[in-house]
Formats: sequence, structure tokens, C-alpha cells
Amino acid sequence: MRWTSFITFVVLTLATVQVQAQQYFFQTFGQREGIPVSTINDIAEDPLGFMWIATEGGGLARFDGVSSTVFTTENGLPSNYVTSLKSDDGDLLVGTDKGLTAYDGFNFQSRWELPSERVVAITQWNQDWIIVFRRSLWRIDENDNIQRLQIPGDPQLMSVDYTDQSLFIGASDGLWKFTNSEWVKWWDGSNARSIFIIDREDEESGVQVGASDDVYLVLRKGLAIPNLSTNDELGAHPDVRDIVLDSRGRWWYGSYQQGLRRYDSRLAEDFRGVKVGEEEGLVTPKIRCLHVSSDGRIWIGGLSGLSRLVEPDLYRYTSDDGLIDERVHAVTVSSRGNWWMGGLAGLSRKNKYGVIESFDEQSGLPRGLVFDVVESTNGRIYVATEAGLAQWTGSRFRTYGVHAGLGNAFIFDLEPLANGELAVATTSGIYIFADGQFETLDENLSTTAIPRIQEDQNGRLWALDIEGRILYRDNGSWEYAFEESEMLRIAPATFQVDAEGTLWMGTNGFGLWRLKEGRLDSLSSNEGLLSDNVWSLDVLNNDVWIGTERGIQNIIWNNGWEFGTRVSDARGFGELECNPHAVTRDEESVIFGTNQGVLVAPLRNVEERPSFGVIEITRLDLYFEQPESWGDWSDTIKPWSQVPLNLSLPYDQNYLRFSYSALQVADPLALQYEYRLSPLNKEWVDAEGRREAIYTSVPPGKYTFQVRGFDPLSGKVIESEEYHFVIRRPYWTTWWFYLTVFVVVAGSVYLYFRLRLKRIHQRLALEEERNDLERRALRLQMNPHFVFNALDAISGFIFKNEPKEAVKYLNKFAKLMRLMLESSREHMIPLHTEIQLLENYLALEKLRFSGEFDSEIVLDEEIDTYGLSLPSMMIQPHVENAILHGLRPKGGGKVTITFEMTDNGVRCVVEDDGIGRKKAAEIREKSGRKHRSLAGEISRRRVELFEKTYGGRSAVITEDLHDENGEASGTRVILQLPLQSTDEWDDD
Amino acid sequence: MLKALIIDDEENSRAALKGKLDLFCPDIRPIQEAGDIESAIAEIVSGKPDVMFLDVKLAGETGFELLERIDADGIDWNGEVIFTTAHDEFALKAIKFSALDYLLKPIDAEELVKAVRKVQQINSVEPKAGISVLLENYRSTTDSPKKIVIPSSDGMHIIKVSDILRCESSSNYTQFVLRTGKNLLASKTLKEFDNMLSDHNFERIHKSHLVNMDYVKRYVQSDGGYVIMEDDSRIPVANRKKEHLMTLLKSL
Repeated sequence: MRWTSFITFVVLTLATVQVQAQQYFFQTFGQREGIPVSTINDIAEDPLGFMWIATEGGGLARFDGVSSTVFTTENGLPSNYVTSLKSDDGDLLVGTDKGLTAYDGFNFQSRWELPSERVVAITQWNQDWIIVFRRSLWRIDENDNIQRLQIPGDPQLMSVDYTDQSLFIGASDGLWKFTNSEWVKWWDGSNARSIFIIDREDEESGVQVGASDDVYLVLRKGLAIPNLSTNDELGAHPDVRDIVLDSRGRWWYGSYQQGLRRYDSRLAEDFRGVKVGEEEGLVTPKIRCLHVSSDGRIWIGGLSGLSRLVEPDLYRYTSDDGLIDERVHAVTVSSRGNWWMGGLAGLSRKNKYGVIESFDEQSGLPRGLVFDVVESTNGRIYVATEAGLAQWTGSRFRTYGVHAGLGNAFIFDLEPLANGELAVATTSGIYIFADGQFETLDENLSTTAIPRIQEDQNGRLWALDIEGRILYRDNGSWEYAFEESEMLRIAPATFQVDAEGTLWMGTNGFGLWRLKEGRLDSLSSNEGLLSDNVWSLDVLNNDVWIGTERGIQNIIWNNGWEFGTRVSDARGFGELECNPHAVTRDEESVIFGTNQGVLVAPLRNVEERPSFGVIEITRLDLYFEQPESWGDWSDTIKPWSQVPLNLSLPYDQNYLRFSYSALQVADPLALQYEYRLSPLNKEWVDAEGRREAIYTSVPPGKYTFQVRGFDPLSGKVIESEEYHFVIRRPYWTTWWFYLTVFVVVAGSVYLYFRLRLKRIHQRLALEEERNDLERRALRLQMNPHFVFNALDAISGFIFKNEPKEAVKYLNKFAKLMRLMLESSREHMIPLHTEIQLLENYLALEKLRFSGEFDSEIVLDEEIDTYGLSLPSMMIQPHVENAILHGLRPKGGGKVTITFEMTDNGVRCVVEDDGIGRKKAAEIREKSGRKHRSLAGEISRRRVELFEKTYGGRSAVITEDLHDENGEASGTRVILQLPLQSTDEWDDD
Repeated sequence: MLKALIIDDEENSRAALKGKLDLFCPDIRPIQEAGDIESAIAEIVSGKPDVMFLDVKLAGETGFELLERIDADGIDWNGEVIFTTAHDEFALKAIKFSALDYLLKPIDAEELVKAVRKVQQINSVEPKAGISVLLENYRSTTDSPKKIVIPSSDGMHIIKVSDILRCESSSNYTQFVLRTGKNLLASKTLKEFDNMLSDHNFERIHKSHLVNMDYVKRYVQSDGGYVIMEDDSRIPVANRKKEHLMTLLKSL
């Protein structure tokens, strides 16, 4: 279509047009959805499908259809007065009153050195960005080279658009065209606030310019036509701020003063404007911007907020629209485009402009129910009424009935035949109506009621009898369509034979049937059919529309039954009862007659982009809030939604909330969402209207989260992308941790036991040493020298014939031996025993040495010699030393043994007045032996062990005694020993 | 008749020995007594006893000192010495190295008789090898005796301990192999020498072999294990001794 030829036609055509009674529905969005300010300057859409809303003073809102995320100066915007937006695949350019910034899905950044002024418009022209400020124009090429374009006369700039060759700028003084670096004043006007190029590839297609007084079509330089409308009463459309073309090929004008106006660019012969203003429900009549989103919906932004036009995909005509009766039993579309709708009280006609006229008796239409209305192949409208057949003459109805040969027959159905005649199905068989006369087709059928007839492509007549048999007439005889018993069983209520010869049947209670080449297929309510009572049926190219007592449904045969997108029940129309056979279709719609008016299902435009929207995960929270950064757990943040991808969370970050939205759907709130976290959920979880999924305490593992939703408005299920994430095992369940723990525990156990063993060994060694020392002490005590010498001495008495002495000393010797042996078995012995031992020992030594020395045992009176014990075998060796090495070489002297109580034990002093240690050592030297005082050494070592075992202070101190001349006068050994109550001594 | 002298600082002890000699050794006449070295010297000079029962330990003195005095003073005395002691390991060891006789107190009558009989059989002209070795070892500043008296069938042999390469058991006798290559058959069991020499780096590596570790060249593990001595002789090592030997060799 050439725009120029078409517009010529438009200008010449005069027609009386009324607004079509189409229902509009505007969704409005504002504070409730989180859009901060009601003045909207521009609207854009990002690659994911979020809508970006530029507000005057409230910043930039990212809108998901239900709620918004707002970006302001705090997020890096130069100003909260956002004036214009332009989105391409990777970037959103944001113009504000303080200059331009770019958002790449993550951050705002100023890329170029441009004025910090109010940005008026942004566009992309041949890969270059064109930035329009009020007083300057800039062009930025791919390599970020900035060029200022100078418009002659320096007008105030307002809008921008382009063709392949040229850039158009709307300015305060009209329209400027920039071609090959040259500016041309293309059209003189005022305040060109919007520009719309009809065809960007065709320079001559024309430019629509929204100026302050009206919209002009600028055809070429200097030639412009104001106001495109062919319907004059709409008048001018001043101050249009934006013009868009929608996916159905319609232009939408958004005016700051007069709301919306719509033109259908495809209607070459009739270019009528359709006003959509406040009366039609528009809540934002002061329009500043329009946007067609990728799902084909019109977004409107203006002074009083944001709205979206939802064009219904089902609508009704009722008595409000002028229908004479809402109980519509017949409907047909004439070749002129008129809709004829027959009801109980008469007939209504809607012309293609939407004007409805009604006819009743006054127009000659017989009273009563209209059963059918058809147009014959020669263009005549026939109406089947209770009182016979009525023919529309152009102004009135003429009735043919009893007198025309119909008799008492009651007409059910009319079928225009290819030859121009009319087949009439009646209670008394089938008549052919031609030249004003009825003739019975077949006498055999004259007693059969035929509710429905149809002629197929091959000129064969098909009929449905009242019993439910479907017959076709082949060469003058009737045949059953298929097995009679089967037909009687399913009881067809209506049928249609399509162009391919397929027989489609709606039944009473048995659903929808199809017969093709002997094969029967059926569809029932169990399988998703709206109802098993299928009363009206319209089929074209396997696109099946059915009417039931519960509404309409679209079904598609594609080698199997599929369901179409629309069901009236789900559209909010409730249960509309359709009337038998009352259905027809034209190029744009399928039209049903129901008990509540005419229900229209517009057919989808094949050019219309089918977009059913997407479900996007819009946010992920941990413990109901955003972590400061996802950086530790995710390597990729999804641009625009800012949701982290490839998430790998630690075990304790397992409290997740997914928020999701359906983007680019008619009504996100109407969606029925289900979500699933595999493998935690085996089945889909019904979200019950919530737009979030919360998972608490998710155990470690690999997960896939997905949301899907059934959109009742499109009839489609849309799914989100799969969202994969991982919750890592806590480190204490990983193999390396087990290993570490094992090593540590094993190591500890090993060390513990080693230490213990060491201690035990130490103790054993200590004990062994003690035992060893005790053994050695015993050996010292039981000095064989002494023993054998003592025995030898005693034997001396025998030879000297002194038996008394011999026996006395033998007894002493025996007693000493016993005491020594007994004390050797104990670690501690009572003091009393020790003293006895010493006394016996001293007596024997005196015997050996013929009483050459004296001895004395001095005992502190306080000492309880029976009750207290001291270490055994400690004292006697020192006494022996004193005698043998101190007194014997001297040939006499005295040894004194003193016991004294001290604070923590007993002190035993062995003192002699012998030759002293020095001299004794000399004597031993002479005998060739190195001196080793075994008694002293063993005592000292034992004393050390006492300290370790019993604590307290133990000591062996040997002192040399000197007389007044400094000569050696003896030796003193001081033994500081532990003392314990004897009673406590049971073991150890 | 043999003249005897009992030297002991304990009166009862002297009485006991005198009583026993009177009773069991009628050939010993007369029996003199001394309580210290001075009186003993006097008795020796005057009485020229044939046998001297010498207590190792005297009050403030030792029996060895008496022998030294005799030697030092050049006293002409050629009698035998029998040491008496209750229990003096050090002295006993020295006595054993010199192959002199000794009696343990209280003195057993049979031992006494045996010792006395031995004295009676001894050819009194024989040089007193034992006493000289005893004195030499006694005078030595080191703890270990340097020489040992080995009684053999042909008399007493004085040998440096360090000359002994090894000893080999030969029934009740012990074969000494010396570094000089000479062999010597001693009339004592290997066990006795083992006891004496174990303190002098001798090791009983086998039931029949006592080797001087100073002259062990190396240990060979094959053929059941043996050591090679300085003279390249191979001495087998008993299984239960191997480990001990290894540690010894390592510490060398």
C-alpha cells in the first residue's frame, strides 16, 4: 500500500462513523507498584523484559509488572528528573535534566563529555547515538567520537526520528531534515514534539509530526496535511507528544491535551481515528510518552501516572450496545461486513463501523424467535423465524410461509446453496426455497424433523435428524455418515463438514467428535473439554471453536487434540450459555450467539508477534535480605535483574528466598505460579498467588530452581529459566576434614598414650630405682663384712669357752637379722623398730671391737616411736660408717644418734668423734680403693626419691667436725627424713 | 710341723681361727697371733712362720700393707700367705689375680684343712710369683690389675692382661691364646676367668670362648656369625650373644 494513494482516498471519503463499541481496559500503575512519582517522562524495555520508567523527580524505576526497584542519584543517576530513555541490546541510555548517563545492567556511568542539561530525546541512527538537548544536538559514533550538529537558527529542539538516509529533528520552528551533512527546513510549524516516520526505508513514505495544534503528515518538503482523521467530529489532535505503531499495524497518538487516538494503518480505504480518552477509561489523559512493549501492549505514561492498555481478546455485544435481545440464537456476517444477530425479540444488525440497528415487527419481521439468519450466495439476507422465512429487502422484511408452500413446517435451519437457492431444514423435512416458493426435497423425509443442514464442497447436502442421525444425500439417496448405532449412541447436536470433507460433530453429553476417512476421534470433558454438551461448532482449517452451555472454547486438531488459548470461562465472562448452531466467523473473529449477547473472539493476526511473556527470577535473598556482596559465592551477576548466577553457597547460607515475576504478560497477578526446587521438591509446589518461594535450611547439594506459571489470559504455561545453584557441604563433612580430624585425633591419642606410657615408665623407673636403692640399702645394711665378722666373733666366744656370751650375741645377731629383713620389706618402718635395730647393731659392733667405743641414742621425748614411721634402712649404714671409718681407726670414741621432730618430719643426726672423713679417705686410699661412700650416695638418692614421692624436704648432709684447734674431731651426718603416721601405712 | 701366724685385729676372730686350727690341723704348731702390722712384723722376724693367716682388713690398715712392709723392709721370710676375710670383693679380686689362697670368715673347717694341706705340699723354694703380682697390681694407680697369674701344670705364669688374645674352654682347663702366639693351658675353668676378666673388656661370646674385645677385628654375619680376631682366627658367636656383641662393637 502506498501511503500517498491511500491518503488521497481518505481525503475524498466522507462517511458517518461512530465509535466502535469495543471495550478497553487500562491497567494503571503507581505508588502501589512502587513507582515513586506520577509524572512519567519515558518508558523503555530492557533485554530481560523489565520496563524502565523515567519519572520526573523520582528517579528511574525498574518495573516487573507488579513491583518496582527504584534507582536514584544514590545509585549514580545525575538527577532524579529522568527525561528520556533509549534501550539497545546492551545498554539503557538515560537522559536526565542534568545530562546523560548509561546503564549497562549493573551501574550508571557517564560515558561522554556532554552538556549537563536536560536531555530531550535519544535515538540511534545508523549505529550512532543521537542525543537531543534542548539547545544542542550531539552525534556519537561507535568509536565514541562526539560531534555536535548545528541546526541553523538555533531553535529549541524537541524530538527526533530518522530514515536510513536522513535524520529528522522536531523543533520549536518546525521540522528539520539532516541529509548528507546538510540541514533542510523540511516543514514550517510550531513545537514539533513528536515525529513518526511511516517507513524508515522509504524517504517518501511521509513523516507524521505532532505539532502544537494538530498532527501533520509531511509528505515532502513544505507539503503537510493536518489531521488524518476521516471522521471529522474528532477534530484536531493537538500537542501529540508521542506516536507509536503497534504490532497489529495501528498508530497510536498520545496527546498531552486529548489523550489517545488510534488509526488503523491497514485500512487503506477508510482511515478513521478512534478516540480513547477518559471516557473510555484512560486514566492518564495528559500523555507524555507511549511505548509498545515486546508483547505488543501499549504503555502510556503521562502527568498522572503509568497505564497499560489491555485490549480484550474476547468481548461481547449486549443490549447496552444496542442489541434488541441478548438471547441470540442466530448470527451471520454478510458479505458487506454487517453482522446479523437474531434474538428472541427480533434482529439486530451491526455494520462494520460498529453501529447497531435493530429490527422487529415494525420492519416487517414476524414476531418470535429468530432461529437462523443467512446470506444466500446471491447476496440476500434470509431470516428463519417462528412464522416462516423472512427476506431482507434493504428496508423491510418480506415473509414467506404457509402460502409459499411451507405448510405448517417450523424452520430450524437455513443453508444457502451454491446455486443461489436456499435449503430449509424444518420440523417436516427439508425444503428448497427458490423464487419465493418452498419445495420439499425428499418426500421420504417429510415426517422427520431436521434441526441442521449443510452443503459440502462437493454440493452434497448433509442433514442431522432429530434423533441424532447424520445423513448425506448422494445421487438422490440418503446415506448414513457412519454406523447408525454409533450415531444414536453419541447423539450429535450439531455438525459441520469442512472443506476437506471431515465431519465435525458436537453432541449432547458426549463431547466433540470428528470423522475423517472412517476414523472417529472424540474429545470429552475428562480430557479438558469445557463441557460435554457441544451445541455450536465452527471449524476452519482444523481450528475448532465450540459453544457449550458453559461458554466457548478453542480447540485445534493437529493429528490429535490440542487446546487453543482462549476459554470464555477463564476470561471472566462466567458461564455464558451458547445457543445451538449460533456461531459464525469472519476474517477477524469468531462470533457466538449466547443467552447473554454476542460473544466475539478476535482471531489472532498472523503477523502479530506471539509473545506469551517470560518468568524471570527478579531477586534472591539470603535470610530475607541481600548480602553485602555475592562476590564470594558467585562469579556472574545477571545484568538488569542483578541476580547472582552459578551460585555456590556455604552450608550455613541456606535460607533462600526467590522472588520472581512474569514479565510482558497481560496481568502478572493473574498467573497461577508453581515452583520447584529439584531435587528437594519432586512435584511442583503451588505458589498460591505468592510471587516468592522460600526455602529454609536447604541441605548441601546441587539444586535447580524453576518457576512456571499458567497464564489464563493467554492459555499458555510459561517457564522461567532453570536456576542452578549449589550449597556446599560444611567443611566438617568433607573428606579432607575427616582426614584432618582423624590425623589430629590419632595424633592426640598417640601422643597421650605416649605421654602416659612415658609417665608410667618414669614411675616404673622411679619405682625400680627405689626398689633398687632399697635393695642396695639392704645390702649395705646386711653388710657381709659385718655379718660374717659378727658370726666369726661369736664363734670366737665358743672357742674361748664362753657359751653364755656366745648365746647372748647369737640372739642379738638373730634379732638384728630379723629386724633388717623385716624392715627391708617396708618402705617405711616405725621409729621404734629402727631404734631397736640400731641398738642390736651397736651391741654386735661393740662385741667385735671388744667395747672399744661408746654409743648413745638420744630420743626426743615428744616422739611417738610407735605411731610414727620413717623410711627404712636409712640410718644404720651411717652408724656403721661412723664406727668403721671414724672410730675404729682411732681405736675408740663415741657415736651419738639423735632423733628430733621437725615441722615436716624427723631429723636424725649420726655424730661421731672419730678421725674425720679426710683421714678415713686417706686410709682407704692406702688400701688401693677409690673412696666411694655408698651409704651417703644411696641415702642421697633415696632422699631425692622421698622428696619426689612424699614431697616436703628431705636431705642428707654430711658435716666435718673440728675441735678448737681446727683439727678434725669427727663427722656428723644429718638425715632429714619424712615422717608419717604408722597407721596410714598400709601399702606403697 | 708348720709354724703359723694369725694376723687379725679382732680378738674373737683370732680366737675362732686358733680354735679351729687347734682342732682340725694338728700339724700347725705353734700358732702365734698378732692384732696389727707392727706386732705381725715382729712375729715374722722372730718366729719365721711357715704360713700366715692374714686378715685383709686390719683396724685402720690392710693386710696388703703388711706384705709391702715385708717386701720393702727386705725381711727374709719365705712362708705362705693365706688371706682371711669376711667379705671384701675388691681384695678378693686382687687375690684371685695373683692366684694366692684365701679363706672366708667364718672359716669353714674343710677349707681350712685343704688350704693348710696345700701349703704343706708347696715347694718352698719356688719364687713367690703370686705375692709380687699382688703387690704390683695393688700398687698400680689404676683400678684394673695389669697382670694375672695363671696357674698351669708347669707352674705359675705371670702374664699381662693385655697380652691375652682370647681364652678357650677345654674341659676343666682353659686354653689361653696370647698375642705372642703362645698358648697356655690354665688349670682353672673358663668360668673363673670369665668372672675375673669380664671387667677388663673380655667378652664371653660363646660357651667355649672368651675373647679380648680389644683384639676383635670385625664381625661376620654369615655362617652363623663369627668374629675375626687380630690373628685372623675365627671365633664363633653364640646366637643369644649376637645382639649384645653388635652393640658392643658399635660402641667401640
